[in-house]
Amino acid sequence: MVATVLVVAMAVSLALTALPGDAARLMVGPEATPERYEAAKRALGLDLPWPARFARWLFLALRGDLGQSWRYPGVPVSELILRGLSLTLPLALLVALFSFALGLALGLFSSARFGRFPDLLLSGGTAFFLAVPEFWLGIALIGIFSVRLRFFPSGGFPGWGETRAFVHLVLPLFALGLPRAAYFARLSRATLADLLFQDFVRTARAKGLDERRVLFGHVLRNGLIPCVAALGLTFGRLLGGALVVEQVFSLPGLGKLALEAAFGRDIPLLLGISLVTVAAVVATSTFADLLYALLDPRIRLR
Amino acid sequence: MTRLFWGLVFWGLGFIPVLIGVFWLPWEPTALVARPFLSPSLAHPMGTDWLGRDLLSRVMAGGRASWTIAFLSVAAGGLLGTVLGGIAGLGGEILAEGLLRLFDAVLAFPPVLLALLLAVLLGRGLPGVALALALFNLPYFARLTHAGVLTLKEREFVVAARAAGASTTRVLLRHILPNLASALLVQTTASLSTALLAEASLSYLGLGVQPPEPSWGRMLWEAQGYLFQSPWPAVFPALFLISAVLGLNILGDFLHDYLDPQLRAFILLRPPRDRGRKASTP
Repeated sequence: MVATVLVVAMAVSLALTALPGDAARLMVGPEATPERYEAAKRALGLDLPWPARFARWLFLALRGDLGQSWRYPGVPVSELILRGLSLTLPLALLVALFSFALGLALGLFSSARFGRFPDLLLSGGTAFFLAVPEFWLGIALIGIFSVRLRFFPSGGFPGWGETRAFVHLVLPLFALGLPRAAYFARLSRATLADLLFQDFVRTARAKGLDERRVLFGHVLRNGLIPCVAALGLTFGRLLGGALVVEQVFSLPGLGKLALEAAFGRDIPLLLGISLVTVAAVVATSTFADLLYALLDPRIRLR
Repeated sequence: MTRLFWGLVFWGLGFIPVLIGVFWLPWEPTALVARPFLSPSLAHPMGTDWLGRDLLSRVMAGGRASWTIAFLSVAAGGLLGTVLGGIAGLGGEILAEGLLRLFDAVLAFPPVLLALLLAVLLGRGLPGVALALALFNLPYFARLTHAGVLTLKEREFVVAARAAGASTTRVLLRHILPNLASALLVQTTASLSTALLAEASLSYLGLGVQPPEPSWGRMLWEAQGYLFQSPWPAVFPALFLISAVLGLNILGDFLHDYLDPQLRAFILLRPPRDRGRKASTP
């Protein structure tokens, strides 16, 4: 787990070092004296060879210091990332919970009517939402709910202190949440429908339990396991994956920061964001594995 | 079988117009041919965009980049991933462990972030996007092949082939990969549909094809700014994209069930209605 994050950090750092272009020259301008140029190089840590630079970066990163942004001189990268996360983290959490709850409800509804009309209709709907790019869903929601109906703002975020903060997150929540809800619905329908024909369910019915007890007590408990594991992964991936939708709604989150860093060639910021998002994915997938073992007594961790 | 039909129909709706567009387009996609924001009409079946360019021509030409990148990146990622997965499965323990770590590392990257990093390295053009999506697809194929090799390499027919003196390459190519072909084919359809979606997201962000050349994602970005004036530019490029992805997903579903011998028996035996219909047709 740690090894994965380390491999990523090394690869990204090495790749970005190979970049053409000279950050120190960019910083001091073409007419600067050689002394000032050298000083800028030292300040950016560019005078050292790559292994030494990476070792120093890693050492400082472990202490929570990700260096300073090049684009916003003097601002620590960690502060910028925390500022972005203060929007992206709650949004990701909201989306994960919303899509999980909606998807599971739809999946349960579908599997209880397996093969009948409501199930087929829902299957068609989920197939559609899985094929829709989430940024287009965002544009469509803006077109309907802010341009035509004027219910919600089309973008921007006033900050958490404002009372209208949540209103600004409604459309992004749906744009990110609906495709993921469709995914959860299909996943839970497949697992639940599979379980409905198993022997232990037949036994439960045969001993006279009513259908609701069978569904909630026996089938759901077993069918929940893959969904909970997928929930962890969804949440982890959202931190770096909400980027395009953040751009659609011009939300100042981690994704917008990553875009700025990439287009402005802010290497320390880009490195920091990569580290945080990859660590989030790795941590949540490990957590999902642990949860898997906790929920399913048949799985024991080695 | 209905799934095969609908899968092909939806996929064709997103692919065939683009294929025709390679040879023939109703209008020049970058030329200003009419007033801006025209609604659909006979001369311009999808209307015109904010500059007065014909939307149908732009949609037909804009899909070129999407499909090229999707096919190229899946082919490259799939081939390299399959080879690396095979090596991880048949090679030594240290090699396998190292390769698996590498796949995990790539998998942990959100695809858009990967593309952003490569855009910084290679510039904003098509090569960066294609490479990012190839890299993104690689671990899926690699892990699939690796898992398949691990289960197959202890089977009698593989052991027998080795005992008969077949080289590792031969065992992999002649004995193991044919048995994984169906799983790899299903993964290919899934990868194609995610590659299409990812390419659209990236060109929406301004990576990939550069204007004035059209691309579906960039057309949607332009359309978002003019939602007040006309909704059509935001609708039509998306319809083609959604149809293509939907078709690929349905095809993947169908292939997944059809290529699994156990499930295939299930499909053929299960619906008595279908069997009856088939028997009655001469």
